[in-house]
Amino acid sequence: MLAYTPFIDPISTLWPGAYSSPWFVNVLCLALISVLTATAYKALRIPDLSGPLPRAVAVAARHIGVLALQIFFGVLGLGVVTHVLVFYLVPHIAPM
Amino acid sequence: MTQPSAPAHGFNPLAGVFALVIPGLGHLLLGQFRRAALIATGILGLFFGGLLIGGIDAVDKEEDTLWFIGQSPVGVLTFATNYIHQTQYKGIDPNRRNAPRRMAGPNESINAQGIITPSGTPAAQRSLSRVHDMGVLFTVVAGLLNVLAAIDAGFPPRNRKA
Repeated sequence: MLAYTPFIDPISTLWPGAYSSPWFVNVLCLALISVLTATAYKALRIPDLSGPLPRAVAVAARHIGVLALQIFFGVLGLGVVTHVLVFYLVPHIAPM
Repeated sequence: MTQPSAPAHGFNPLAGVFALVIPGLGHLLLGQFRRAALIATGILGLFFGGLLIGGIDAVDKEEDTLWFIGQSPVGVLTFATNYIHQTQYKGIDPNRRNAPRRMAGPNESINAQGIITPSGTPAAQRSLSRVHDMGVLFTVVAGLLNVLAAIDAGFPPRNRKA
């Protein structure tokens, strides 16, 4: 096995199955990008982050959690719709 | 007679520029420490997440120029990563000296003069396929989100708390 250097080598050096794993793209990467995108976006949108720190963290976590779930299931839903369209509806409408 | 209402947004160009240098720095300048921390967590998390997934090959001004334009709003980090990538992990092909520098292949390495030699193992693996796509996607999303953060820092809403 080749040596793996984080941030220099791609994750596939450590986990060769990442190239073809549906979990890698459809779940792990999507979950990570949803949470981090929601964090950066909600930092700009939440009107009030004042007050005691635990309260501000709770407010931010609730907003971020809701948006992250919307992104995650929204993209997953678009994937399912595209799959149904390409593999079932289009072949049904215009058979080869 | 009614008084003209104050504009909903202020104007702070310095904060906007600072936000483009390091994510979160613009809001830190505005005194919005909690927002700055959240912005830095989100954008730096996306950028370093992209590097963790796609490796240093995810940021490449020479081979992925259009994507690099999207990554560049992350600021100093993008340019530093690209500089390290171009100078430390790419070498000159001895058979095509006028060609652009490239990463070493699986059974190649780069010597002290920066020439690719047909022996040894490369200092970094090239990322391909989905792994490369995800690495580039994460870093570009980080860049585009930092554009929003910079606009927000440059034109901060007046009625915002903390």
